[in-house]
Amino acid sequence: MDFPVATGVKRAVDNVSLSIEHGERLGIIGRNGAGKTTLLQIMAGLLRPTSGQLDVSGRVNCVMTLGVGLREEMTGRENIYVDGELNAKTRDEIDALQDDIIAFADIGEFIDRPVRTYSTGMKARLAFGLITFIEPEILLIDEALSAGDAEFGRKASKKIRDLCDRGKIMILVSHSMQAIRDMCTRCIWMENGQIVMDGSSEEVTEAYREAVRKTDEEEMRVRFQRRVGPRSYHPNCKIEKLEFLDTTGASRLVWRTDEEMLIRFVISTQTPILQPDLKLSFEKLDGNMILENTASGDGYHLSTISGPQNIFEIDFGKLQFGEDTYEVQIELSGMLSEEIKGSLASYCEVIKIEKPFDCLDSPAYFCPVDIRAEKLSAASGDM
Amino acid sequence: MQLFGFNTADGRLIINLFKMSIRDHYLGSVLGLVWAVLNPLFLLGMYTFVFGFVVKAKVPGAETTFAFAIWLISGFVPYMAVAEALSATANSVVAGSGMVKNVVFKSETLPYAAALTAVVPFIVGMGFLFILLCIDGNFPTWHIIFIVPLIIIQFVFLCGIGLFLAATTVFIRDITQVISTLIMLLMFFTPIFYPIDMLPRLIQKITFFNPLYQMTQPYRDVILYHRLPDFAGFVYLAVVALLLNIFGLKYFRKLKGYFEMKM
Amino acid sequence: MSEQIDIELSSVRKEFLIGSFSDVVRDMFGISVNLKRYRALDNVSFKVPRGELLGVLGRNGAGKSTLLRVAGGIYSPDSGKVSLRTNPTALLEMGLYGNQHLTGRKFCEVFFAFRDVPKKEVPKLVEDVREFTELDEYFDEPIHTYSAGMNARLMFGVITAVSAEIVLLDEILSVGDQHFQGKSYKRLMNMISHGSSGILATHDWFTATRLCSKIVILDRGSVEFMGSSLEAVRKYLNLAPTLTRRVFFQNREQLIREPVTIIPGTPFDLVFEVESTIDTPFSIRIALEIPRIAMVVLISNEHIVSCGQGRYRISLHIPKFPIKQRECFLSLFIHEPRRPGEAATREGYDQISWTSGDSISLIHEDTSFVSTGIIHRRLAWRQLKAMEPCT
Repeated sequence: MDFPVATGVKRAVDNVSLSIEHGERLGIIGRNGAGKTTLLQIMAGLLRPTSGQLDVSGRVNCVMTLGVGLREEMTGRENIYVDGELNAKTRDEIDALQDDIIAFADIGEFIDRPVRTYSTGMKARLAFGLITFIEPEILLIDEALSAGDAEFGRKASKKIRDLCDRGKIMILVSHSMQAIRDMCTRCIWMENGQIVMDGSSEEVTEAYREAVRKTDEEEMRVRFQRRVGPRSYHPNCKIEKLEFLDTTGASRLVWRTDEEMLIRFVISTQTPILQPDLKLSFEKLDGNMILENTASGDGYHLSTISGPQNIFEIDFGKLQFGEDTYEVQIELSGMLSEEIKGSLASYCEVIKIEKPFDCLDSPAYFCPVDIRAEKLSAASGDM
Repeated sequence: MQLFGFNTADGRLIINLFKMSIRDHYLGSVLGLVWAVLNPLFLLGMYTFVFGFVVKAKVPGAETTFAFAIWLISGFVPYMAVAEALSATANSVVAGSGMVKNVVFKSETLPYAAALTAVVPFIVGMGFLFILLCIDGNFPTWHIIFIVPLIIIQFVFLCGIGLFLAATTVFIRDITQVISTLIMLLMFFTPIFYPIDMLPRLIQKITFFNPLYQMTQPYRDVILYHRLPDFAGFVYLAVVALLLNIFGLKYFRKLKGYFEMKM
Repeated sequence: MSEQIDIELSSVRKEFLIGSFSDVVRDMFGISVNLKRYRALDNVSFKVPRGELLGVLGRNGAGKSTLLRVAGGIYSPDSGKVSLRTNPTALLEMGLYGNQHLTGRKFCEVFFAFRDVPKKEVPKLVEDVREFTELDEYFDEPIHTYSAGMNARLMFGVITAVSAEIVLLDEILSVGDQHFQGKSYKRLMNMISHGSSGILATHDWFTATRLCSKIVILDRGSVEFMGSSLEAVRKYLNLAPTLTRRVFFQNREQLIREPVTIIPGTPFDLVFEVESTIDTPFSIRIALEIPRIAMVVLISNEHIVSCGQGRYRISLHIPKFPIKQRECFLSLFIHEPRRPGEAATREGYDQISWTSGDSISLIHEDTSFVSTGIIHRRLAWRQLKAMEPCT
């Protein structure tokens, strides 16, 4: 599929051959602009391929943009009827489903007011409720489920899942590896209009994540370059090179919660630093200082630091931190002379931590705990 | 500095709104710019053809078709500005509903900014007219300066009507259709395509009170005939324009408390 | 103590006329018999002092948006008074100022021109927005190519680029991913600590507890509750009725009596009893929460108990208690085992948590712990030239 574009021709989808069987649930992943949405649109019949052939047997239903189908001048209730009719439902069928939809949308008396008076959240809820009408054979979903509060997000995911259960074939385009793993059996990875991998969801999402991690690191280096780097409060002292090393010795900026990390940095100074101390801090994106440790606080008394190339390491062990972008800072303090003491230098770096795939919650920190249950009695006895 | 409840910040807002709407409509696409120029020219060309060649109307003092074209255009260009202004102002509040619902500002500035957009077809048309005049050897004289007060009063007048239209359209959306038909009707009753003598005597007398006449004829006087426009007519227009603004603002300000019903 | 009040509403009432144009005309002339009105706000009063953000919680249609617009001067109240110390900056709805052809960058420029920002400051501000929104190459693409999240980022970035002393925000923070939400909180917190005040209407009660010291709950236009954030959230969530209690805690009073003292880094144990009246399996989940800073430390995945009806003794053992904040809450949840892919919810069979009104408060008074940082961890420091570890 070629798109004419100001500077030439953009090959949105290139030489894609794909066959999907009855009962398959396919996920499509890839970066922005990889061609996922275009492919979906072709399959839906919204776009025609420049060359090649498309064979579809079965009725196709799409969930691609939310809220577009709502008619602003009509009330919510009227919209339900219109949408039901568009989906070839009889009056009775619509009546039966109407209450469900109204309950799902949860907009109170606004259901009898024109949609134009609704807030965006309410429109999204109603539009989502209308999905109930869809009886999918082939279901194509382009995920953009981010309207409304967390509560609604949950209800919405559930509805999508129900929908998927009813469909015979489902194709889901998503950025959420979690969703793909949950709902799809097979997954294809698209890049620059071509399929670069086709396999089980576990395989492909894992591989994708690995690849993305490397580019993420690059991006982060560029994006945060202003905040990152060394700072000297005294010209003689410098912290050089703050690195985060994994068990193989590789230096990385993107990590997973359950990995073990070693922090290494180098201090050089022309004047000996007396009574030195070091502080390590991890600050979350929202400003919470989740960790702030000093060497002295942890029980280590550092000896005088002098000369170049003083290598320091902090053995972190398992990270345990939740998913977020962290600003990590090392601060060196000490005494150069009677007059010059205090904070001498610092180094700031930004790292990203991702949580393991099978973890559904997003806490700030994972702490190991042991839970044991012991049965005391069989029924509600009076013990 | 306050004038009719507007201060200098509001003035700047009107200019900014105007700039934004120009950017939206014309500068957004290459086609937009082309259309801005072609559309008025096309209209002018069409009417010239119909009335100049087909109907072969003649105007005393304009014996050639070229002279007729110039005569016609000099009256038609201000009319184009009127039509554009009326439709733009009528729609201004509805089109700006996003801002009205979410930003703190005096919504009565919207019709004023909308009326300003009429400047585009006006300038295109006038530019074309001046080119034709120069070809004809009819160069502008000092009477040209009177164009300035003419334009100003015309603008004020259109804003006045615009205020009524803009506020009412929020509730009765179809008004825009009615307006475009009415204005076309008025156009045919106004001596734009034909000289005033061709109208029945009675109607000639009341034509003085036809605001469209007072917004077109003076241009002819000043540009073509190099004479001063009718002073009484000018005063009449100015007074009506002022009254329209005073009452228009009152009407708009009262009605705007109810806008949220319909937007 | 004279506190500077930035926003004050007294007995504000706002009604909307429902009808046609002729009804409007009648109302204008005072002939208002038989006209239907919708009461959006009724007798709303509150004060917001300088440096505080007031949260407004409420279901859809409760009047949050109307309240913000009345406070912002977009609607005038039918009765009552609204006074603000200075002009507010409001972010109420996305996608304003028309033209979708504008690039992100141009949008900023237009916006700043609109706000009469001096020309020479504009480039710096535009760069600031670009950096904050992380839009990168999209910054120079037309806005109609943006997703909802990107739109929200741009709007928030632009509005907060120019210092605002009073902000009115309508549900802006929940659009956009977690990453961006974090940045937005931080920026807002920064503004507040510099003296900005404002009103935030939201569904996200968890964030509201962190950003807002006081929260108002609106129900059908009236103030149902106004008070401290924790209390307001409890009231708003009103979880108690949703808990089915088919599996429940025994002796809960004993569990929640007084604060339990803990020492960070040391083992923590808790034993309690649970009674189940059903045969199907149930899950127990635990969390440590610090609502004041909107932080949750998860300390367990679900532990599924599937031995049928009866009474159970549950033992909790945390080898190294992780939190060194002065106070945190231990929350215990009992619910149905989650199906794959389902996110956590606070509803279920039973729970003890600060959101349902009872909680196990854990405190530590040991001042020998460094007070900054939230998580307690003993790290191993090494100097690859001589250094004496001293434990």
